[in-house]
Amino acid sequence: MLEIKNLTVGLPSRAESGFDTMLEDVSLSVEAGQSLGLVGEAGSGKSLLVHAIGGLLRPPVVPIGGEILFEGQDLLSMPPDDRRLILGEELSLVLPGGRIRLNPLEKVGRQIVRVLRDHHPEMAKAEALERAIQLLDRVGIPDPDKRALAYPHELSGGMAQRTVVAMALANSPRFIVADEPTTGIDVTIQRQILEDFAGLIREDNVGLLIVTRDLGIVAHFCDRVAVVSEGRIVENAEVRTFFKEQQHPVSQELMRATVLERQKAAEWSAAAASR
Amino acid sequence: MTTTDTPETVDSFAASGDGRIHGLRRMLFRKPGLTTAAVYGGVGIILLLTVIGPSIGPWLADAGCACGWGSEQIDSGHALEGPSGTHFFGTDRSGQDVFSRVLAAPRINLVIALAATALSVVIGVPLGLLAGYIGGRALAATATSELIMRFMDVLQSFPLFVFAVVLVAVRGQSTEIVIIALTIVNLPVFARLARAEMLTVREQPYADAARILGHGNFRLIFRHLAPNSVASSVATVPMVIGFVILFTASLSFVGAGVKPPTAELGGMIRVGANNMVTGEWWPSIFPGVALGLMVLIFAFAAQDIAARMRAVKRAEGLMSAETSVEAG
Ligand SMILES: Nc1ncnc2c1ncn2[C@@H]1O[C@H](COP(=O)(O)OP(=O)(O)OP(=O)(O)O)[C@@H](O)[C@H]1O
Ligand SMILES: [Mg+2]
Repeated sequence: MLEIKNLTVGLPSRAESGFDTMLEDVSLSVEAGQSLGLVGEAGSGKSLLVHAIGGLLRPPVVPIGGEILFEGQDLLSMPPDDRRLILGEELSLVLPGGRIRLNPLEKVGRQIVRVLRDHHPEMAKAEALERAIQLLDRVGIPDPDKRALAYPHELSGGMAQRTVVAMALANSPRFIVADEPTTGIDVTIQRQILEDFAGLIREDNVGLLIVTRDLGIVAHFCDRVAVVSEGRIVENAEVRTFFKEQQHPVSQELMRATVLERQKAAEWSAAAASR
Repeated sequence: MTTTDTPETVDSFAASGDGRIHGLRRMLFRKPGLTTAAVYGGVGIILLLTVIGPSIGPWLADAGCACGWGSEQIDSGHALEGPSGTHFFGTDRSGQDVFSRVLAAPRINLVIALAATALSVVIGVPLGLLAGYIGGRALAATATSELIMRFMDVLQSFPLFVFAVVLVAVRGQSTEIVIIALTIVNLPVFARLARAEMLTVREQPYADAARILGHGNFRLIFRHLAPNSVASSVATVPMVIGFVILFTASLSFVGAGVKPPTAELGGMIRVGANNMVTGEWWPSIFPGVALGLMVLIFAFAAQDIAARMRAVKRAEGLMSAETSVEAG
């Protein structure tokens, strides 16, 4: 469904190579009804990949080679007007950051209404607003009918991020690319959102590519996991095999870091208990 | 209960379901203090005079008050009379009542100022937004953007006053020409401000977020980018109005502005200036003070609006810093 073939992204430089590459020869594929977790250390190029999929790269960073096929059509070489019909409708992206992703001058309900009505002009305003409120409710925002009338700065960071997720879900996309969709969200809501995603995958055959730093999310919600390091995919495995044994040193390091975190938490509770 | 065992920042807002709505808009329209009230009261008076100013003299005369007459009425028998109960501000050298003229003058000054400012906003802001949006992209677009901005440079590099005087000299003295000259003078101000803001706004994370939702260029610009790019232009409007009022008066003072006998502050000062040396100060001083007050009021209004915008920005910034989520 989403197939990335030999994608190389970089910036033209004075180096003899001609290019500084930030993603090199990346190949991935995710089928309908499948979910792939993309993990990797900070700055490895995960968000860059998401930007490439969304057509958000801008000079000097440009795609140098490869293809991003969505249902067989190359998003990279497609005219922007065609890509626009797909984005937000069949293929939705969730960008990280929460409030900074919302137009500060518009009520959030209205922003969701616009996502709905831009792709479905025939939808009545009242109906769209009702759907927007349902969507806010679905991502766990309390008092959604009141919150729909709030401006982004009137929401907490977590609520704003949930609104961003709601916008991505608005038009019932068939594929979701989510870059750290639940970072900064309260863990219970985080679970609710991820379970919503899992439901979409199971029942509506939606495909999911999720970028995360949290191997816990991968273990619970993904079928496959791909590890990025310095712009390359260094490991791509079934989740079951990955958690049994990691092939690449970077993957092993990621595992160790997670385990360390867990130990730290245990240490903290021990420290707190001993006071 | 949790998906991860790593300690996460807990979203306390969400956890408590707290409905704290911050009154930023309330802050923008907060209850005015005494100074602010005076400033906007002043703006109100100027607006009122614009509407009814020229009629006040005749009304008073009709009402049997001996204190003046129509602002363009001439009575050479009473030229250069000092301030008195009959003529509060005296009369000028052609016997026109200075008081009724001072009340009448804000109309033309403000009409010119509003028209010129509105025109330069209406033309300058879109040009600036366009230049900002298309700049630094494809070659043709960048070239267009550069062309617009270099043209603004050219406009701005003319010595303003000389430019306006020449325009009036070439095209003849008329209110329209004064408005056009002042529009051209202020175009670059708004174009620059709008462009500068658009340049940053188009790179904002919410602009990317709007792009990946499939909003087209048109909707992207008009809904998401333009509204976020006009704050500094808006905040500059009152200052420009004040500037234009002063500039119009200066043009009239050198005889290149509004055609007499229309009551206009700069023109009145010019007419009266001839009599200053012989001690008849009133035909110049009263319109001079009125001019100073008008400019001052708009300068204060400009400052107040800028302060409100800063307060809102700061409050928004604080809240974002408090609860924002790390961007990837
Ligand atoms: N416009 C740019 N110019 C130069 N380098 C860039 C640009 N954008 C991204 N990079 C580089 O590309 C690399 C990948 O960045 P990216 O944001 O994809 O990291 P990431 O894997 O998402 O990290 P994180 O986990 O911190 O979100 C980084 O080394 C970054 O410095
Ligand atoms: Mg990232």
